[in-house]
Amino acid sequence: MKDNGGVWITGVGLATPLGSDLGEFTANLLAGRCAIRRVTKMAIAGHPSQIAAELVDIPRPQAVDEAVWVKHAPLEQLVLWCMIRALQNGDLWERRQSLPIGVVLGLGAEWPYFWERYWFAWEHERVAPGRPAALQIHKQDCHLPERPLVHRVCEQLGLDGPRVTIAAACASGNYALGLARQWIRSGRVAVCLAGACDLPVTPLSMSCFGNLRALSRRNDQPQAACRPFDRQRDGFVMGEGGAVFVLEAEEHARRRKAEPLAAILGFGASSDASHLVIPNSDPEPAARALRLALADARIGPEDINYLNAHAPGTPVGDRCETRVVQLVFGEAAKRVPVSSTKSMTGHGVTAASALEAAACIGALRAQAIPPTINLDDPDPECDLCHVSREARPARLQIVASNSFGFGGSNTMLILKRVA
Amino acid sequence: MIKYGGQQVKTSVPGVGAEATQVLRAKLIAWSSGAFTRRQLQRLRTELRLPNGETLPAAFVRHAEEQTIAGLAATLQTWSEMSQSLPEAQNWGVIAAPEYFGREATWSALQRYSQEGASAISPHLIPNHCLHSLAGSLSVLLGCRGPNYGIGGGPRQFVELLLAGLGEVQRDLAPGYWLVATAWRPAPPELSASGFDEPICLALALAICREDFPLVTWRARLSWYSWPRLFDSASSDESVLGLDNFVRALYGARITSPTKEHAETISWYIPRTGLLELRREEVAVSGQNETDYQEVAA
Repeated sequence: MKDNGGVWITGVGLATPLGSDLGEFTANLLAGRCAIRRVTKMAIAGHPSQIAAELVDIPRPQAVDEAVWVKHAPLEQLVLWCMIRALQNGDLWERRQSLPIGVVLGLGAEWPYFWERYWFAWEHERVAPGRPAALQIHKQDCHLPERPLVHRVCEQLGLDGPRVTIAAACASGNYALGLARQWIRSGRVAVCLAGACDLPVTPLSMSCFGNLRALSRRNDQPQAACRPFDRQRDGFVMGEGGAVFVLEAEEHARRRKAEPLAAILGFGASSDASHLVIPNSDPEPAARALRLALADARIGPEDINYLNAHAPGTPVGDRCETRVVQLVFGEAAKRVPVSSTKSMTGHGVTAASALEAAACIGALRAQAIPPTINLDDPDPECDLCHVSREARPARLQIVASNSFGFGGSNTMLILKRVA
Repeated sequence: MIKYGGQQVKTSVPGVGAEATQVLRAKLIAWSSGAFTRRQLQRLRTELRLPNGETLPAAFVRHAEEQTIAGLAATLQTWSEMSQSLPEAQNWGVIAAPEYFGREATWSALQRYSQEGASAISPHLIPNHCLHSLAGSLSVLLGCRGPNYGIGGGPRQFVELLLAGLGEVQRDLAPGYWLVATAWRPAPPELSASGFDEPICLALALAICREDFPLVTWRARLSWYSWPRLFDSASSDESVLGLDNFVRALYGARITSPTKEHAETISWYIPRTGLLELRREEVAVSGQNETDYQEVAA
């Protein structure tokens, strides 16, 4: 395999309820601000969980005309915003058509998203005359796409490189970054956009996750609902957003004097192979992902200065992840600071690990660790070195992000500060 | 020259001159494909046997998407036909590319939601009917602890499976990968619960690993000149690197495409098993060299 050495992240585009640029997002995380509110985008009565961190307004990039913009569905707008902002932030916008730029995009429910919009746009005429629709969508704004979103967006932006849509449930973003890094290291492309986007606050996903009893039912206390590692946690809270990064061969980035946000130092992935939903009670399969990432980065657990945990705030998930971290980190588990930014962003599902990679980059740049808010009474079965309630200044060189997902997916991404 | 099945077939490709710079290779250890009716898929839910001889778990039988059953059937067939046991089978990865996965379940769920509300929605909908579900299900059923994820999801995104899979084998996360593709034919034109008299579910399972795996016989190159051409899923011409054409080629039908001058030509040919190579050729800057696609017996 051709190995061009390091892979840098040289640009980021993101849209979250806590900000649509890295600086604002990081500042809000470090301030411990929570984006979780009562759901407003859909009729939520009758749902077990009625709260979420919704992305209500997706900013329009100046590069896209208003008339074109409004024809896109919100998911398409989100992807466009993130990709355009990433290219602009990475100072590649003007050069995007002269480079073969690859795209690896995590989209876990692209087609169901469009089917659902289509259904609700026509619902009045189908089964519920006279009844308000669960989603207010105008028929003229709703078409079933004929081609995949990643291709439509690449064509719109004039990107001429390999492109794939990837779905590993909540670990999709980490997988996207891992695969894009591989494409760069093998010399296939010098530049690749990678990340993930999701808008899961929809009638079906709120119903399904709610009936699965995966979502918090603390509807009367939205800001206190997501409580990773806390003894009183009762499930995760749905979140929305997206983050796309410019990944680039170090050599290429140096040549064009690009400013690195971070370097991707390691990636590991494995599967539980035990259950589609419930994490394996045996920590070994997930530990394999962490060990592979550490080996890839050629570091030991004690070299990690901050771990952004997957920790969605479900009773089982947080406990299982703790066991995995304790198994792999050993004594270092007592010293490596850990937090879950999902306590503030909610769980972005497909987008979660991309948002958390952005949180890690923000932490590296700010030299401070965002807290797990609402961690008032740590669960003794989640005995880790928690950064709770308030951000903590720290010397951060290497940070890691765990992401696990349905289908038994386990991943770890390791990032390094580039001086 | 390409050797195939003891024959030599000359295939010249105009416009190819410079050495290719972007190549992905993997060994195709084994493959199987199937085409199933709905009735057959229903029967397979109870008839399929896992490699250890056990029947499928009851919960899986109840909730699995039809494409998952088809993909599993093709994978199990490949597994059973391999002349050698898989090295470190428990650490293999699974990458799956279904088309319009979960469409009918989503349709039914939307009807129920409109009629009965949130409480009527099955908690199994997302775990079993989203793009990641086929790969996740195979990982669980086959006990594969390597990476698992879904790819594509839309119409004719088979090529993305090859891009991802042949990329994955180059790193050390797993000793090999199951690449599984499934699709209904004819493809569903729009969201609709019914519409075809007898739709067929195609399924293909490839077992691939790194090129240093022993016992390789043949090499196949799948070449093209520009990325957009490779992703031309709107085109119906037979040069498109899609599931249907790939299966045809595996069974021996040679796939060619109309050649245009300096064009975005795809030319590909697949042996039954061997070295599978996905290669982006650089168009020669000057002249029109003719380059033969090479052979090879390893």
